[in-house]
Amino acid sequence: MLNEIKEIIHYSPLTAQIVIENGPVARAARPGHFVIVRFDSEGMRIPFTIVKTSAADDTISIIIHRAAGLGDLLSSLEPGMVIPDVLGPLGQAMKIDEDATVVCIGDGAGFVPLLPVIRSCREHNTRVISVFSEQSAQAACLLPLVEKYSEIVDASATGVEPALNELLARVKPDHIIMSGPTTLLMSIADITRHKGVRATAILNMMMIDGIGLCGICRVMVGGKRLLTCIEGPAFDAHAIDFDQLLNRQRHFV
Amino acid sequence: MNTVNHSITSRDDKWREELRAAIPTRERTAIPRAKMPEVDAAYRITCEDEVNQGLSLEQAVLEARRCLDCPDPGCVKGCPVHNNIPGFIKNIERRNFKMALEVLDETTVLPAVCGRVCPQEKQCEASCIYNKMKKPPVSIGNLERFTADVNRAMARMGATVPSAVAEAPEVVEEPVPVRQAPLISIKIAVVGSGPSGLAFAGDMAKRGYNVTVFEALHQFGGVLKYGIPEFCLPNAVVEYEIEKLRASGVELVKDCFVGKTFSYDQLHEMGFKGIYIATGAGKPRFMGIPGENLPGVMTANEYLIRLNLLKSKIYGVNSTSLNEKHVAVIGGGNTAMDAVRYARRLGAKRAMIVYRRSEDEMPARVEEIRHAREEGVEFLTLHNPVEYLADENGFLRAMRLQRMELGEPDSTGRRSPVPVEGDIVEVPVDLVVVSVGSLPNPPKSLPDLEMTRQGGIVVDNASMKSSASCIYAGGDIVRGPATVILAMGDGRRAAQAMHEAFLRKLEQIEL
Repeated sequence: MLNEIKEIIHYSPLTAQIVIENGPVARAARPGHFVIVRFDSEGMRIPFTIVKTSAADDTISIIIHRAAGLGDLLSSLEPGMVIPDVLGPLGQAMKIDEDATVVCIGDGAGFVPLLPVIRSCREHNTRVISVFSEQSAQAACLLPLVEKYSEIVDASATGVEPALNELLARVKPDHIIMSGPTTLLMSIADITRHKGVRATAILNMMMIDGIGLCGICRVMVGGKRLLTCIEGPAFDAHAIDFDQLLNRQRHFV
Repeated sequence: MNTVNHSITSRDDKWREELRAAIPTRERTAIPRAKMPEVDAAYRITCEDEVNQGLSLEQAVLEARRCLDCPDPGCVKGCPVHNNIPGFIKNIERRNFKMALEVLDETTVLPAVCGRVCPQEKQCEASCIYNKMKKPPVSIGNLERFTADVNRAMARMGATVPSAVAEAPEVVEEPVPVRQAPLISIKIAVVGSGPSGLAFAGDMAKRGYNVTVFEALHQFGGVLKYGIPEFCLPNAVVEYEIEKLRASGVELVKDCFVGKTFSYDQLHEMGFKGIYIATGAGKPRFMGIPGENLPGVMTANEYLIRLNLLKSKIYGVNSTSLNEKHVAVIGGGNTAMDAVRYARRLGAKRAMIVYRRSEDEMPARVEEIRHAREEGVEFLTLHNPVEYLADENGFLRAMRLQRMELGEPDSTGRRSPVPVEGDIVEVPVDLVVVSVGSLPNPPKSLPDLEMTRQGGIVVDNASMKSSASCIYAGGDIVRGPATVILAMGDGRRAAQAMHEAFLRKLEQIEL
């Protein structure tokens, strides 16, 4: 049945993968896409990365993190429930590097958007090094999901910036993809800019309609006002006006 | 030239001749225009009740009597879809409300909506003969709304007449001719469930096509739902129209963003032989001035979607709240009026319209402006924002407004505003709602479609056909932001043209 929860996979008391039946979205989704979900008829419209699709059984998966303020929501869901609204796939699919070396850096709930990218990189014969940051205790439960596809750098002892500098001293990646708190994205963008490494930031923005009407997810990229829901959520990290983004985000949640 | 074509009633009908003869013109023109009952301003800003309560039955019949049933009615020419206006009004006068609706149904599909939101003072009512007599025109919009509302009430009660009508004397009931459409199992896809898509879908279903409407949002109705507030257009009115469509066999699919969920190619593969794109113009415009990305500055779409569609008065602690004390809405259109009037309802102490021209040039409906003023909205006309200023926390604190004066008329005939050198004022404000227009929503993954520079779809004006075969388009995605009635008219024209195209194909088929 459309939008039925087929399975809930608990990775930790804080984090679970929700498997939802939705054939059209499963068939159309590519890495980088997201869905807007309303869990009850009075609910907000919340964006979630599509972390996995299965064309075979017409399902998509999203990951709900209690840390993202969605704790009550997580405990209210059960297999067999039908979610009122799932809209997608939204945003732009990411162009996956082929035969390259990619470093993925994430933090806590921020690691979720990287999961489909990491898997897809491996399918494109690209070497992936995943850097888990200091808050990785929250994301540690996601480690088994990426271990198969990626080398792991644990930055929990040193902090992400020193770990990245150390990594860049011995590896020359073609591309760095990051997701997580805006402050983290900012400092990584600074490092990669100095080192001359191409960098992409996947932004986590509040959204309302997700189809380009409201403008709440607007961000300045290279001097242009872009909507994360339509043009994003991944942008050239060196072109994003992070100061303005940070200022906007401080006031939402 | 007679502008009323192919209607079930003509001026030469015997009953209309008798009706005209029954009351002398002198007596008709002496009747004052009916006053629309309105909810008191002090009360209405505490709730979302619809402001206009609708004419009573006796008011409507009396108002209908004012119409002189002119031989060459200007009102019909003034109506973008050429409703047979005297035809439905005279039916109200003789209390045949069912037939009044039948007359409207010939040319319009959403009379309850258009009766509420059309700018009648610039259209039908502007061409009424009463204007020449220096008298207020017949209240055509209010009568259109009455016709739709009274019939909706009748249908809801499952009776032929509601109690109010039943009590009234001499209700004329005649069997209304039923139109039967042959069932043609040709699948038609409609992209977008706003007024244009609904009009198209209704017309195609009437002709027997197998119609599916795809809507990206979680509710149907497009701008009628997410844009226009409850106090101007109650959701129940829109819901009723959608239920009627459903009952006529139209399938409605929500949460489906065509171009994303399904590609247009997939629609073809699914067997849709004709596609009508009516995705509207909802992409917000900004002025491009400093501070527009500050928290506290939002688009009219964000403000209205959060209130209309999500019913969210606030986000929560530490987040951008909607019920602020000092609210400024930038712009002078209907959307701006809707937003500023909502701000008053959310308890704003100061709700301001900031508009760079004078009130005479405002594109908003006269009634909306009057309602806003009654509700305590301030009008900062001849003011143009040049910058938004932040407090020490990075949150909006004030706006800098450039004082303007009117110069020479521009290409639209409106006097263009020019800045008064050095005259800039700073006004404290907690929330700015930018309502300076919108752009067409870009259709995604459309093959070989000719577009305008503004992002609108180019169509043939008569048929509404795009440059791609079997794709038609209409409403704001073609025109840019326009009115409900024009969007609806496009839908009807496209349906007619697409139907004719199918008939031409059918004629070529031999068994």
